[in-house]
Amino acid sequence: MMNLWRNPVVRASVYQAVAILAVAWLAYAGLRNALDNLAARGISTGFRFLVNEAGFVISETPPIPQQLGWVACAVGAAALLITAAYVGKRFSRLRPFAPSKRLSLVLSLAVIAVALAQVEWTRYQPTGSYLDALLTGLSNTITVALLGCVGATVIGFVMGIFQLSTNWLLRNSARVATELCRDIPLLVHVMFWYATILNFFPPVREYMSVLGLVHICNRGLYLPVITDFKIDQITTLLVTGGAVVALAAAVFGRTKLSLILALLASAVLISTASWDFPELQGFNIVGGAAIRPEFAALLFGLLAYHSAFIADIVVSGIKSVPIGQIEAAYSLGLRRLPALRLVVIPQALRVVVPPLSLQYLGLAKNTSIGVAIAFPDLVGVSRTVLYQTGQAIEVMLLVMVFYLAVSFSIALATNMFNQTVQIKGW
Amino acid sequence: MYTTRWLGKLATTFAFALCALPEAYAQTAQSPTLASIVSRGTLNCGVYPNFPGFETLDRDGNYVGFDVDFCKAVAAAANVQLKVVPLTATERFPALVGKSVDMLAMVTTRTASRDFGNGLQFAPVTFYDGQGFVTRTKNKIKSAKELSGATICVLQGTTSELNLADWLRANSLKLNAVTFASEDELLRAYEANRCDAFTGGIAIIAGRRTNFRDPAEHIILPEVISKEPLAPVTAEGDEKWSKIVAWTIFATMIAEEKDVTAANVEQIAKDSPDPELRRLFGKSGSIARDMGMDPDWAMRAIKAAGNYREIFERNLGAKTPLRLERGLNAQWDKGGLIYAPPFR
Repeated sequence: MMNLWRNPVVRASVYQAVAILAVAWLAYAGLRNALDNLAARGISTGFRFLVNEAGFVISETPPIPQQLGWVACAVGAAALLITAAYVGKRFSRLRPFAPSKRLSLVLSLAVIAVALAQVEWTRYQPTGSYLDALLTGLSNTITVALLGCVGATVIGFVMGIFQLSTNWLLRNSARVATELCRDIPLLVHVMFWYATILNFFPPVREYMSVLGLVHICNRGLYLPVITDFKIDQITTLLVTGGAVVALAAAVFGRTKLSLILALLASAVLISTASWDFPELQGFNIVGGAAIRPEFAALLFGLLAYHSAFIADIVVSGIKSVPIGQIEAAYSLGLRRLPALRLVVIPQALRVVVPPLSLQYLGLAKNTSIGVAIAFPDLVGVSRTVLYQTGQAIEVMLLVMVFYLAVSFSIALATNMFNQTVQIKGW
Repeated sequence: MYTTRWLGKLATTFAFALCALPEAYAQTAQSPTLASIVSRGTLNCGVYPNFPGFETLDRDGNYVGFDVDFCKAVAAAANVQLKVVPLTATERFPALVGKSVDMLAMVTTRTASRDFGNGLQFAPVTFYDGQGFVTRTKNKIKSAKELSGATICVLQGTTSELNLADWLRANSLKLNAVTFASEDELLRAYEANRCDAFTGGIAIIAGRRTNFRDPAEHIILPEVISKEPLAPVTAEGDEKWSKIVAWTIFATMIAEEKDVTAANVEQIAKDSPDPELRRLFGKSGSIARDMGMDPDWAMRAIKAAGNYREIFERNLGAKTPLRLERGLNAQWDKGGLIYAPPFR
């Protein structure tokens, strides 16, 4: 017995087991305690409330999937694919893995495509369920997070490169702008943009109009949208023919011809479209698509704040490239832009990507600030749901799981991208 | 010798046990919430940070208002200090159920789902309200049904949010709703013309209207789209405490019926011949003891807050900026719904 205990492996395993048991017991005791207390206070538990009718109005209702089973199927296939890719990479040195890997890729992609094709998309109505309401919130969160990440990256890169410009005015205005945006809390950014939009743009009765097509007032930016195409056989022929020839021209290197043909084809297509134009009717502008002030204010706030940090990250990345590399590029005869694109940025990315992914994570989570300005993001909607149902623990758990999923996806994507920019073989 | 001593001990123990019996009985009968309030010396009462007429800060930084007066009455009845705890709409039920506060008096609508699902015990209704709409006078509309296509601002987590959706569906109106988490942000957005109207309990929005630059530019539309019985709330699980809060509220209503005011309550408590008042003020009967209170509880409550009429007129009535009529909140014999059960 004593000998067994002297064995470090056995000892370590015992310690581990004890620790795991202790943690599991704590978790169980906490859960048991919470459930007992809820029962004692007459609060119902469980997720049954999710199918009940929500009954409240949400101001922004992007499409949400109706068949969650198929979405889960697609997500599962994607997860399998990623796991397979990782495992394949891990063991590829040991034995050739390529054929089965390719097969798994094709199979998983097929499963994902089929699953997603089964899903019908709807928009939330007050008759929808609490789950629909939460999904609408999640959908709003994801929309802002995606647009925010893309926009902040573009603005951040431009501002970062401007900060290193040789032009005095450009360099210093970029620096001042970055410094200003970085030093103001995000909440203030968002409130500032919201107040600005509400007070700067005219009220709805005195809306501004661009060409009579796009209307702007403090309730939103209203754009005309295409609702349908009236396609007959001639237009089908013209459009597909144009597209095929344009593709062929592109393949054979006739870029200009291809562009002109593509433009012509799309012009023919658009000429058959039926449009929905926004116009003032009664209290509001109706028709078209609207970008609402809450959405715009949240997005602008996030862009201003996070692009400032991304600009700093880009500056540090570019500065990490030894000056000799740039000189070498110039001495090879490369101009400024190609030198930047081919020599500096690929090396800078190694330094830029890890902190950049943290910014993406921060941005995705900071969308929750939308609560302050009536944007119905996940947190905003969940607060109403929490209120109407009183199921605090369940709703908070769901919200946490949703955020975890969003953050985990971002982390996964940026990690995979990071692997492609790292020095190979490390 | 030994036996007698032993018997003596037994007798003493028995005697002690006998004496302790009523004591122990009283212990089990007393409300645990009341006991902790008394030992702490303060009643923690949850209110909104700012709700004109119902709970606001006066110039000296003290909370005053219709709801606060009921907190005061309960604190005085328990003979403890009142500590007003400002809470938001989202915090209030968890704070109450988690025992951070002993009661809420924060314009809370009683509904079935709140009664059964949230561990709440509603006290008697102190204010019968209904949901209405405020809009700009210059919109020139006379009925909420003319609001078709308008944008309405609504406060998150209130029954107004659900009533609005129900009412829209019942009348097949299409409206855009913008849901704000904070009242201040909502009012700012309404003032900036982000919405054409906002909705809420009529008494509440009447109070909000007083905050606008020119209250006359805004009108309350005549439609009342819901029943909003506003009542203080206690947590489920301590029936005795809930009943004490309920009967403190009833006491203010009985006091109005019998014309007992804060000014004359001491006199009346001392020498009124009215049998109900004698029971209420602990001069006859044992109701106070059964409640776990001392006989003067009702006298203190009315001295601190006044009767129901005084509370109403002081905070919401004709002489206040809200200028509300008694309406549904008149006594039952004057065409209203305020009706206290008999104190016997």
